[in-house]
Amino acid sequence: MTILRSSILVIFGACFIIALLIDRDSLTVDLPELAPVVATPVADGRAWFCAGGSGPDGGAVVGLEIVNAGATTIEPEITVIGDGDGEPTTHRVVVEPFGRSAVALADLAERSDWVSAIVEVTASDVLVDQTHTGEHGTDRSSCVTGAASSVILPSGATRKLSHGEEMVLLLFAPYYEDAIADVTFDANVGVDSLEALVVPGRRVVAVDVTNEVTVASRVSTSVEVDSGLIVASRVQIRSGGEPWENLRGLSVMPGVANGAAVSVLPALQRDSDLLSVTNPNPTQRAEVDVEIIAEGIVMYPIELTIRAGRTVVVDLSSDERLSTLSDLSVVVRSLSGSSVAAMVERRVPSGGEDVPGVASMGALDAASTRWLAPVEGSGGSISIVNPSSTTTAGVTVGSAGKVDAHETFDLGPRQRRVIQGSRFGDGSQLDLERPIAVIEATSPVVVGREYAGATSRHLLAGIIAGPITALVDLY
Amino acid sequence: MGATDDVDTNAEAGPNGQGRAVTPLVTVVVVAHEPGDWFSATLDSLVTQDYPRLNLLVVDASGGDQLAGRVREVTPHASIVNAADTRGFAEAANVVLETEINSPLLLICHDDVALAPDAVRMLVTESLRSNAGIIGPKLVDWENPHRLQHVGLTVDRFGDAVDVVEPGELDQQQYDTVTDVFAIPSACLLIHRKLFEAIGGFDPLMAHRGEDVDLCWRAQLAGARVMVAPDAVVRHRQRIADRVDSLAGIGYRHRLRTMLVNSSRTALVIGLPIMMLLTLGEGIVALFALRLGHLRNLVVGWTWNFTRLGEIRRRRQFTRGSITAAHRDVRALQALGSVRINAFVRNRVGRGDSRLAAGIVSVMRTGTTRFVLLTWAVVALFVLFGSRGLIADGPAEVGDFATLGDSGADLVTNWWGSWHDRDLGSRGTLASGLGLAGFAAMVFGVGVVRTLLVLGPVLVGLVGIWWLLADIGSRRAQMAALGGYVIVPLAWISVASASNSGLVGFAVAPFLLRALLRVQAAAPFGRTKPLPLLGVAVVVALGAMFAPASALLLAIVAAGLMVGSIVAVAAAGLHRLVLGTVVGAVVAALLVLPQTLDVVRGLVDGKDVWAVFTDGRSAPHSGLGVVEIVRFDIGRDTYSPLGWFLAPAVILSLIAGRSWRFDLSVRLWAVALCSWGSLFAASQGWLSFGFPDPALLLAPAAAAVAGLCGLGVATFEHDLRPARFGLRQIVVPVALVGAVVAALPTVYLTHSGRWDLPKAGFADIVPFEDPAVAGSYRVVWIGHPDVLPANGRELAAGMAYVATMDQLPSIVDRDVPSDPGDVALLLDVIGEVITGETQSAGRLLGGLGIRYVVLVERLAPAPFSPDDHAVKTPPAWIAALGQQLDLRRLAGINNAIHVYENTEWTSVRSAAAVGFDDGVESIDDLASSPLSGTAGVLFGRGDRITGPIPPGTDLFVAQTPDEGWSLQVDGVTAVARPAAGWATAYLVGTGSQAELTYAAGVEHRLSIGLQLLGWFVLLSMGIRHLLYRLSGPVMRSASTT
Repeated sequence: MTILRSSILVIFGACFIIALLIDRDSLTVDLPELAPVVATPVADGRAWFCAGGSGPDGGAVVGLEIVNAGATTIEPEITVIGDGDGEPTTHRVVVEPFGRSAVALADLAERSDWVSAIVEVTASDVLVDQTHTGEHGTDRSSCVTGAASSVILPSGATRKLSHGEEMVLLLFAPYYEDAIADVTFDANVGVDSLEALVVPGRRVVAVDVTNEVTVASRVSTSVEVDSGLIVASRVQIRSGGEPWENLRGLSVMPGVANGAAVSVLPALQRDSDLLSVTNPNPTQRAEVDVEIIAEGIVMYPIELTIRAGRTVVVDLSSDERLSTLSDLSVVVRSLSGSSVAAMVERRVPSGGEDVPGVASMGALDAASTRWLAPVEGSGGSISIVNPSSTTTAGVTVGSAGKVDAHETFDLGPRQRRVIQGSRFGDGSQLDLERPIAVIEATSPVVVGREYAGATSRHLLAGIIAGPITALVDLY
Repeated sequence: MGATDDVDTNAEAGPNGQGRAVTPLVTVVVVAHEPGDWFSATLDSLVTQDYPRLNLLVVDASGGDQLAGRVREVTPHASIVNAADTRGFAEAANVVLETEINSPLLLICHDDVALAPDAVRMLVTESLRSNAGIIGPKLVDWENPHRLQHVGLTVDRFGDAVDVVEPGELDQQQYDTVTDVFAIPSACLLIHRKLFEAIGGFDPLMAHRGEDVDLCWRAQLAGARVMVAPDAVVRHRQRIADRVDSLAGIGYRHRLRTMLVNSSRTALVIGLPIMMLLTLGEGIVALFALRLGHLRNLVVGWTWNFTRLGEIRRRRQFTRGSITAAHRDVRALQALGSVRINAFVRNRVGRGDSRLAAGIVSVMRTGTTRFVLLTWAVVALFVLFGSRGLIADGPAEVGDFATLGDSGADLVTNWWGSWHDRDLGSRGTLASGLGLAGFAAMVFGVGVVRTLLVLGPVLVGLVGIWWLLADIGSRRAQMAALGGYVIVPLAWISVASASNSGLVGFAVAPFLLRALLRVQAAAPFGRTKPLPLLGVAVVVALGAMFAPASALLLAIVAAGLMVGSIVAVAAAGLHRLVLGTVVGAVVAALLVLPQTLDVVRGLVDGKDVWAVFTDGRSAPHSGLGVVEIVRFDIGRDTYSPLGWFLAPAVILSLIAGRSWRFDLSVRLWAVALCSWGSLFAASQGWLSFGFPDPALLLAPAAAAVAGLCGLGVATFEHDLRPARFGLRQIVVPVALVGAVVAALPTVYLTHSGRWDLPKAGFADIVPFEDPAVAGSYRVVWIGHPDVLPANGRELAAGMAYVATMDQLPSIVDRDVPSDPGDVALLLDVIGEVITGETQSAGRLLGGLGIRYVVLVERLAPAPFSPDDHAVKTPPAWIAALGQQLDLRRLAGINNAIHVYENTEWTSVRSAAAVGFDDGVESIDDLASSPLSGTAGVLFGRGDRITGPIPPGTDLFVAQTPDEGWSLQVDGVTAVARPAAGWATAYLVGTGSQAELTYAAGVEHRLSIGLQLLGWFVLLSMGIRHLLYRLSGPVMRSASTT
């Protein structure tokens, strides 16, 4: 009996001890995998949000261009949302396979000063660009596929009387929920803010920054949303004034959503571009490396220290180390891991050999193995960057709807390649064909596009049409 | 008819000249009906009376000459009256009313009595001395005069009579005192002739039974005393049943007639409803005892009287003429309450040969009785005090404690039907327990039943733990087990977390444990058959009727007992245990046949029927550590570590027990380990499938721990007290002190009066629109299974979902149906939403009739459920829902929930333009081609919905298609077609009044019928078995003749 009792006590006791030893305090719970949240637009069937522009009588009359790179006809639904009291209206437009359809958005909301839109598509390989036309130029920018709770616009200017610079901030709440935003303007003349600005659900609100922050040569705008989500866009008009009368143009740029620890600006020009990097963190400074990617050259990065909440502007033309470069790409990397927002603004005055105008775009925070890039004739170009430091990407560039590839090449680590728009046409200077470039790579790359027309310049992001890889995951 | 002699008022009244008085003439009226050989003895006893002035009148109720001859042989002077045209004793006896009899006293006798020689004299003497209107003798057994038969009758307001003496009671002169009684048996009674005439004699319609009670009642109303003179002794054969056909049942109708005729109007107003209830109760017992004849008699009793209401009214008028006493004075002479119930209890409890009776008698006689009563009183007070808020306000509608609906009838209707509205609709049977609850709610009200569904399992569990150790013969051990079960916080945590499964497990576990121990029949549990096998089945089935997952406890408990038996090297009865488990499971499955068939059908169809048992829980589902599990610390609030102090009491029997105490201790420990181990395995993620509610899994451990507490006491009584003092004896006071300390946290739980169950649910805060406004809709609830208002289906690890119709879920939505219907569509859409694959969730969900999406993070709204009780929804999911273009977040509701309204919703039943779904082949097509131009119609729930519908439209029904549904428009069946790729559309035509109905299949009704039949047979067997052991037929008549 004693032996049996002892044995049983040992067995039962051992059960408890073993359980204690193998007991795991916390278990990881596997939730369904979510796609990385990136600001770079993705053509995977999700809705497009266009912060838009002005109505028919404004300085940046907005239109849409819906590009269908797929093989089936689509009929996206466009919800037109103005800044007035009118209810949103919906419209449908047919887009043929591999075709484009332009929508005069401003004409669909005639009684609104500012007009935004939601384009709902159910098919992938569809993208939406917004076009703007004003007295001083035109611009083209990509709509976005996600709203955000934090948006940064690193650059802008409001010297209206002296330099003809006007800036308008468009805040668009695409969902039913109202957005309540705090807007901070960090300008060279000081800091100003708008607190608890209510953007009603499914409404667009325009903030005339020119009046809010007067006579600022540099305004960095940060929008933090307490409740709801927004899409923000900056409308920058340069009408030319002393001593800037040679610089005219219209530049509309979607805000940089959330910022990123690593982002890429695929197409920069040394002579005309300003790189602005904002540290949105209100308490900690950011150590940032700006890594230069140029064909055949390896360079040390430009090291930046950005104070909390402040913006650093790098004039590429003034950096002697870049003097041998004309075109380049940059990787903006926060060494501390905190998010920063980067953008490039191109300013080409008239009177030179280059097409004059202004353009701007925010840095891209994602890479992919498949991109779409509508080509705007022979004046445009596509910049392809391999952001990886280890992997060579095999790249194939073709056109949607065409079997044969235009170009196939390998892109080594930290290499870039520019494909001119003329490669897609017959080579004539005025090629009116507007193909939709499809860039496929064996490893994630980043694609940007630019266009220099007769009187205006555009800088745009490529559109991801494949698996999404956050750039931070590549570093 | 002959005449009898006049009264001789000068005669003497005693044989020896003692007690002299005027001697009244007595006419003995013997009502004879084909008497047997004993009749000679009857006549002999009459002619040998020592009373000097006695006439004999024999009423021949059978007719013919034979009787007259037999009478003449014994007493040639006797008068013989032919009453062959009469029916029954009463009418025959009334013949004297038509006979010219001048004697002042009548001694009315049956033909099967034999009077002691001095019986008449004693009766007359006492009658004159006490001025009794009716007086009767002491009736003793014909063959064994030492056994008492009747010494008067006690009667209640319902006309029920019961003997003053116990059946078969020995005559030890214990009743030999002249006393007033309410009634005297008609076998032999002395009555004043004038009284007999004044009250109209016996009621002629009461042929054989109850006539004596009726006569005496009317005599009392006439102001006469009814007495018994035990010095007068009469032997009585009392075998009328051998001589008269169709006696069964007439006693009941005569009792009712007696009440109807003799009661005052006020008494009738009060008494009749009570009588009806008593009859109903008696009928139910008779039904389950399969005494259908008795049941028939009850019914006939009422119909017989109600078809004679006119005659009863006339008799009341006649009786009113003779009334001189107040009804209330007569009522004061009657017994309080129901003598029938009293007699039933007394007959059964008083006998020492029954186990129940023996148990009760034993309890009442042992010295621990007062402690038993005290223990139960303390426990009852503890439960009542801790539940005071629940009892006063009812449980809040949170978690599993959903509303029962508007009425019990709705619940019964849902149970009887076979359509589930939850999720996207599916065919299946509601848990039988809910049907039972519906019936109860029809009687007691919805509120009472809701409270009972919460507190009932607790009380049942406590009774169960008391019975767990009933076989070991120690009341102290039972008390300890009871205390242990109260101290273990499982029940209270289950209430606090609104866990129906946990509560049902708490109720079932001790009974299941006991049933399996009895099946195994290892000491101290005796070997009995076959009821223990049925006991296992009944316990499992009853549990499954209220919480299907509780059926899994059978496997855990059986496995624990098997392992324990092997480890203890006490494998006796192991084969019986295995067999009992298997047979119990099979029979239990039959007892819940409709649910079993649903599961089987699901298995055959390849459906995920395991979801029925897991409530949407996945593996790993709780993240509980071994310490929390062993301490039963599974609630939202951390339970006090003082619970560890129960350990010495639990371990005592293992380290000090001997013989069966040790064996049983090992088995109980093994059960506890199996229970803890199953939850531990599930919590650690070792299982690839979900497991049920932790509270349910821990129920066997709680019962085992409580049983071990009791075994500790048994160990002390058997093994430690006789032994010399040693270390093991020290454990005893330590265990006692430890148990007291361990009880402190449980005592603290009473502070809220609700066991920390939140005070209010979401009913008052959710902004759901009345479905009557724009049509019925669905609500999708997403959250952790612990906080969802209904049992969900697994969505992701630790998260579940459920769709319910029209506002908050009710109890019919609580359980997961075996047939998921088309819920996979909903799962796909939710998956697309939370993974960010769509921004048009509203359109997709709208096609499924979903209007609201609710992310639930707490069991109840703030402040009733604090933030630290929240189970947060993954932020990415909230973000994903916030990025839907057609969902509107309803802000400012409560921190416990996120509510989104679908701006693109379509009613579950909506009128739509013809061709509304053109081009929609699947639910995904709705993203580009949303349903539009629809209007909600036919709002409501259930399997029959009616209402107007616009002519010329299609009726779109967004639910799982099932051929059982049909639409009648103005009486014409509408044509059905598939719609929107998954739903159904009906072509309405030109009609306007529509009726959408679901016809349950024959197999469904058949399965319910078979289930009811199974329970009926089982209950009948159980009741008959019980009554058999309690030594007596249930419906033994209390009538005396």
